[in-house]
Amino acid sequence: MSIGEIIKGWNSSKEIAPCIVHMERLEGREGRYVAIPDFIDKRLREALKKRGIEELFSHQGVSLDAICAGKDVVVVTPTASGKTLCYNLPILNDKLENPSVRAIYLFPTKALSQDQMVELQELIEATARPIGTFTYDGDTPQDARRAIRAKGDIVITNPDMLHTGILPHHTKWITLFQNLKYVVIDELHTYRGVFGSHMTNVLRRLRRICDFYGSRPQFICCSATIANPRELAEKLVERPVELIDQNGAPSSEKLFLFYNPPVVNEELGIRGSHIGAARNLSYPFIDRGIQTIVFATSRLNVEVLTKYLKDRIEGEKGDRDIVRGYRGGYLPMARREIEKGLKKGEVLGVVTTNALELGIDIGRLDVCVIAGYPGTITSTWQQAGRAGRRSGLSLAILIGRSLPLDQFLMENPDYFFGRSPEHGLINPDNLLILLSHIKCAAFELPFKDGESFGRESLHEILEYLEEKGVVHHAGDRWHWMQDAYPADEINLRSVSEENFVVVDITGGPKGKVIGEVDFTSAHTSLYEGAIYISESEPYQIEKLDYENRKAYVTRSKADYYTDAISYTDVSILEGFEEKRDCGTWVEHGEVAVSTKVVGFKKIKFYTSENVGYGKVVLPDQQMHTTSYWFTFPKRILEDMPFNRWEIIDGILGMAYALHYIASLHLMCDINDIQRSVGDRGARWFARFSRESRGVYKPSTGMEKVSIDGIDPFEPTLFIYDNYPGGIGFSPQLFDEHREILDSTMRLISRCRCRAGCPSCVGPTGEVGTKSKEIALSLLERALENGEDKG
Amino acid sequence: MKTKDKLASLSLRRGERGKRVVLSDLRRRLDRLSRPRRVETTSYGYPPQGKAIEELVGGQFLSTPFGEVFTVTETYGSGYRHGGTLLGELLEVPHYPAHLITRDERLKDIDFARTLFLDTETTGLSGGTGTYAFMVGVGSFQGGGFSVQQLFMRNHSEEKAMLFLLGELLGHYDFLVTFNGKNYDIPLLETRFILSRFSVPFADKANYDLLFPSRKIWRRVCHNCRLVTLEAQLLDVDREDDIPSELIPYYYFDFVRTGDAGKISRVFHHNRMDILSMVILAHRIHSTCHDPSAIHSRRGIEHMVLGKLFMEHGMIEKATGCLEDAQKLCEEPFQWEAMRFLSLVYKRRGLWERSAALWEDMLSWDGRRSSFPYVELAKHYEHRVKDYSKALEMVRRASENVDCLGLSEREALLYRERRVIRKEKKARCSTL
Repeated sequence: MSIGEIIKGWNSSKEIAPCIVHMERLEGREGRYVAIPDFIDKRLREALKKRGIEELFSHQGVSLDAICAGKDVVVVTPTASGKTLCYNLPILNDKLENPSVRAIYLFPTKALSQDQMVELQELIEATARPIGTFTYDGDTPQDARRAIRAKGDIVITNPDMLHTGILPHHTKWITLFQNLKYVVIDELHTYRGVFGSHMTNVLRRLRRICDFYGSRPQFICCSATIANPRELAEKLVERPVELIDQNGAPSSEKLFLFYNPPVVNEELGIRGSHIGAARNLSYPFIDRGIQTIVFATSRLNVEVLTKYLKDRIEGEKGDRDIVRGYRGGYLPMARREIEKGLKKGEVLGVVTTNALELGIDIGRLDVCVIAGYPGTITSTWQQAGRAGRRSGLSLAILIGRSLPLDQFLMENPDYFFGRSPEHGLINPDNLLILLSHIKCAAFELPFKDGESFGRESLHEILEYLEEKGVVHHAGDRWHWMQDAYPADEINLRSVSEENFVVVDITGGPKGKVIGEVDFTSAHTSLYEGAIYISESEPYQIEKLDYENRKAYVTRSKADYYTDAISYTDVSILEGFEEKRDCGTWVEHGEVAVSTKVVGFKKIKFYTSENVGYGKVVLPDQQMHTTSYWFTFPKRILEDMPFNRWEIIDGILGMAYALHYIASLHLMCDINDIQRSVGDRGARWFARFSRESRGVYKPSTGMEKVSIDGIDPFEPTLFIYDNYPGGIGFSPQLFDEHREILDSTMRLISRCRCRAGCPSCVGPTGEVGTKSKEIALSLLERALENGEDKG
Repeated sequence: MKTKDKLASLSLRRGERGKRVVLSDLRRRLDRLSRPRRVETTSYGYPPQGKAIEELVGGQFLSTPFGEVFTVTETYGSGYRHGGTLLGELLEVPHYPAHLITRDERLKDIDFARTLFLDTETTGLSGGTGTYAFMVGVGSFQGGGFSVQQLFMRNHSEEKAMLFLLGELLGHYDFLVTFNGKNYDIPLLETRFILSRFSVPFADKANYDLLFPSRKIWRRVCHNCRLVTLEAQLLDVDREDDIPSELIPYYYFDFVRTGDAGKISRVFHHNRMDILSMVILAHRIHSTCHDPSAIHSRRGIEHMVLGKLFMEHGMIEKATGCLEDAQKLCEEPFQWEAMRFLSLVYKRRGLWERSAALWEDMLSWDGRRSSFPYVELAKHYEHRVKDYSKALEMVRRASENVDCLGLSEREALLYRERRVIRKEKKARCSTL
């Protein structure tokens, strides 16, 4: 039975057919080819031929020309379109002609580096030239490092290693830096938010070192599809970059199904299990020998699904081993074996986390089942790209969970299949991040008077650091003045180094570190009594050692998770831009956020029932960050048939949904941004927890404000960056105000619950029973209005 | 907003617009970013409040094309005694071949009279390009005495001049002696030369790093091989009035910020002590190697280590003497090792009876420890005595008695067993 026949069967099934909420047919496409140009070295041409490559895809040809012309480029192509050849071809060709040329390849993870090295070495072997290709990362043995420094023609590493291991020791890498001609940055779209903001600074440091040795490398970036690849690339490398996005690789016809499990609890808007659905939908393919990959959202889900599928196959007297799990944490040997099994066709089903989403070569499969929206549209396309051979029909299925974004996509497939709404955004001049890297840069090479680094005044920052005894000004230079290695204190994947470590003491008082939580989120996730979830296993926090930044936990059998009840107020420090749009007053700028966690609620898994409360005593947390906000003016609210309490409920519900929609546009984690509803002038704030609904004065935390006494009553909704200093999200939200309100309206209006549920405006217990209705009226009213010029 | 205000506002918060309140949390976090262990400083810059360096340390400013450098020269007469040793004795001691101990061919012709003893004082131990060597001390034999010259940069802007002068000094010497210089001082100076855009002057210098021979000989005698430990345990050097070396970077930062030379002046003495100790440590290494019997006994471990070293270097007779002493002096578990090496030395010299006696002796010691004596005896009976039944007995006893035999060892024993059985049969046939 073929893919087509199985789908035919589904379409006539009473159970499955109603759940298939969308079916998109993606036409196959002929490849566009160009000849391998004559200037390519004969040895390389032969090597390509041996690997079956006799002509290039058009985008490979365009990349080759641009790179050979010395341009900085960003290549945007889907999974499995011969992306690596876009940079390997020009670099190896140059290398064959000019043996002294050197290159650095940067990949976001070690696993990807390994995989790329194998591929590159195979190509080099075929040219029979001694081109040294090495991975250099935390796993590289000490005694091999010296050889790599001397002989590494192409050094494959990750940004973290460049930051802590290579740049601070640049004098040991003279040959590399003197001859560095190419820097390849693959998986560019992963460098967004905090990580990307750090990355720009690491590249600033790299360019400074290259300047010192007299080299000026070209940057070659590759990205998955996002809305702004060129903008992101230009923000990362801080130079004009040429965009190459016309994919010339052929593809076969593909069906993309959206499967929304049936509603099982009308009141709460809960749907059937996505795991069960994934099992049922993938089994028929595996059973008929059609290679299938299943993506799950957590490691635990991978294990559960693998077991379900194996059991089912065994029940039908099949061979358990045709289905394998694959995730981070498996030993490399086991991983290689599974990868081989997939390529050879011995493994028919693989269940994985996003570990198999990027790069790793497993060949192409027939069917891809995505059990739960992976968090970004880009990831979803990359996962779906795993299915699709050069010819014949392939299939991808996205299964929705009872979560707002999953449901939004189920109801709005055009959002997914249209132009990508996701932006890779960074703020490399976040002061804390910038300050960290200025220290590293001063350690690497003394700053000269008049030099610049980033967009803030370097001179003032250096003076600040001199006051702190970090640098010393002597002659015309600023010298490092500490017995410390600054790169060790800076983690590229978080803002500050003050992370809390989570220690599991189930096995004894000595404990085992199982995770880290950054300082900002620690307050709302690590309090005594909280449930901390690691690799889908619940742990209960027994003791919080705030001073030493440690949380001690034990394994728990809790069937609930905890959600902090926190009071947040926001006061505006400075507005950067403002406009009237959609009947609202829209701004973005700098704010001070003060958060107090006062308690937590226990929420039952699956049903989301509230099963209890706890108290928390923690210091207030204050943060200076950037925010986007908009205010409903008096005149819009006055003629609506709702009282002030109802309007607050409506805006709280809208904020709940808008928070999710904003994270979709920003391509960020839901916790990277936070929301607050209150007054533009910081006179009052709305609290949205069951036991303390109402409006309060800021700071004092406890003092209620009479809602009727407020004049003018103009509620404001804040969405702020949940990192000190801000990470660059708010200008984007400001620009897309209308689109965001529009998507929020669609999310709420198309939700099938009656009066509000966790998939749209939030649980009615928190936002009130009329919230959904009022939120929709407010949004409708707002969207009737256009942009007010002037 | 100006950057400086922003930096300040990261640590300030306005409760209401315009009204500033201290946001102590972020301030503390920014402060913590400038860890670790900050030196308490109250004032910055010049004019110095305390005394300038030239007021506390007798030295002079030498000028170079890159500016001035403060240098201090101290000369010690040939009769000067550091610890228990006269400095000049190093020139007298017969040289045990340094290239054998260090496996560095270039040290074959080392001549301590043409050697520079070098030690740096630095702004930290973390390594990398942000660590400076603010003082370089070099010592050498001159005329009848020993002279130490120290180059010191008063702040970072004098580094280039200091390195220039160091490069000039190095030009006169072919050999260097350092302590841990291979991994520390020399790579650090190389980095400094590169950063100052000078060519690196170390490529043609053979560096005799005393840490390696010291480790080889004394690792099992001293609880660590830091220079201060060796000084105290072997060289009778007393450093009671010295400064703790981990504070040196802070003394220097303090001096650079305040110009007060009070603390940094003591580093000059510290650095000179290090250099003098290298001289007598080199003497100690070479005299020990030359005549191990002159060693004050340290439970015979040095005898054993040296015996092994001589054996590796092909000096069999010297090795024999050392190991014989070691066998007498050592206690468990080193005695076993001494016997093992001694038996091998005897074997190599063709003194079969003596080797065999040692092996027999080792069997009676503790038969389970290792297959070594069984295998050696089996070889002995098989090849030399040609007593196959005894050889077979040894092989079998090894398999039965010895604990934790490795897989390859077990295979080797089986192989040997089969061969001996074959030979035994053959021998029986031919006698029949």
